[in-house]
Amino acid sequence: MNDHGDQLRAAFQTRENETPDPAAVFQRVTELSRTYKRRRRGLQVTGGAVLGAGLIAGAFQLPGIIPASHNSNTSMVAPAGPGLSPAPSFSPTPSASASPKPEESPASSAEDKARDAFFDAGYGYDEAVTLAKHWKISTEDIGEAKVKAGELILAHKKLPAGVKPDPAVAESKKNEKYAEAFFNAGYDFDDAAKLADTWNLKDSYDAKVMGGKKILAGDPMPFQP
Amino acid sequence: MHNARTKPVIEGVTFEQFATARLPALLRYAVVLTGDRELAQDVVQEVLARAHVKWRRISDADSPEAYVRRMVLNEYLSWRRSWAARNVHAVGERLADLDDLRGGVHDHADSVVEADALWNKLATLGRKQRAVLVLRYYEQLEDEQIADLLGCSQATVRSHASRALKTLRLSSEHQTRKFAEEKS
Repeated sequence: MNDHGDQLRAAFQTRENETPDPAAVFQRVTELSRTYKRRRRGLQVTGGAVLGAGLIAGAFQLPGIIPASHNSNTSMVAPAGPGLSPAPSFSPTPSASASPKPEESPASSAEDKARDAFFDAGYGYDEAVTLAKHWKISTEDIGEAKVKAGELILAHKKLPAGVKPDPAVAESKKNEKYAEAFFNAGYDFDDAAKLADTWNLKDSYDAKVMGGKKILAGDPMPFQP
Repeated sequence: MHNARTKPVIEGVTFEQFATARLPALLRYAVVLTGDRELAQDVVQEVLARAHVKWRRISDADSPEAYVRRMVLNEYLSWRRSWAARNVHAVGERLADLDDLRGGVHDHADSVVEADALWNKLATLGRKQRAVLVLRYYEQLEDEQIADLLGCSQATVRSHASRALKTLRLSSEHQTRKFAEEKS
């Protein structure tokens, strides 16, 4: 490694561990993927396929995150990295391997709809925390605050505690839905890059948004995914 | 630090197993790539949520982790939604701010100070330039691999790297020494 390579590596290493909390990230991943799956399948979702965030949170609190062993059909050797050490094996619980439910319950669907409304309106985790405190909901049940707030939003009521949505986020959420429709139709990043060229757009994200708009409007696309 | 040349062996794992094992490393990669903790979180969340939806396809790839890392890179390079709107500060300042909030609990060793200064300078680079440096020096990829990931020629990769190093005043050992002397 040359001199500037060493300097850059040192700079990267000074900050690489300043990451968000993996458990919180995973919780949001499960929320997002549930939304994506639901939208992809219409009203049908896999209720049992998503691991409980609490279970995963527990796994992330282990000293190391590399699974030491898996079942006989599985092997995973993770690349070495600073600060990583072998961790206890990760065993999916019955909830992780439960058969997918053909349809989610009406109550669950309503909760998801409310949760989506909360995020789509431009609110986020910080506002949920504020609302949870206002409603005296434990921050461990932050999802409950999101659902309650989402229900108010769907009822066109104002949220308490002075929380304000971020208009830029709300706008971006609209574009996210278009991008989501693009991916849900089976297109991927490489397709977006091609379409950006075809449509003379600035970048592939613009292509995702435009493609999603066309797909939702039923307009023809230049090629199939 | 992740040496991408050391290919992980991942076969038949569920998405949950993959996420449990690799999410911290993906977050480290995203933090280094983006220079912004919040953006790193947004990018990784978005990528993993999509990866979850099509996990069966991804798990069939030769290296699911390489596939997901590529998704992270692509997402970062094409990301411009809420980040662009809310990112009033230059990229990288957020992490610098975090240090300030720690109440001056800094390691004042020269090397750390220099690394901090370089980290903040990295925030002035364009996304592709930064990505090239991260892929070359953090991921330790060859220019050929970087060109493949970015969908450009090796000459373009070298051009991005050269311009980036010039911006960082790291274009030659002579300049590097000069930079160190200026700081002393």
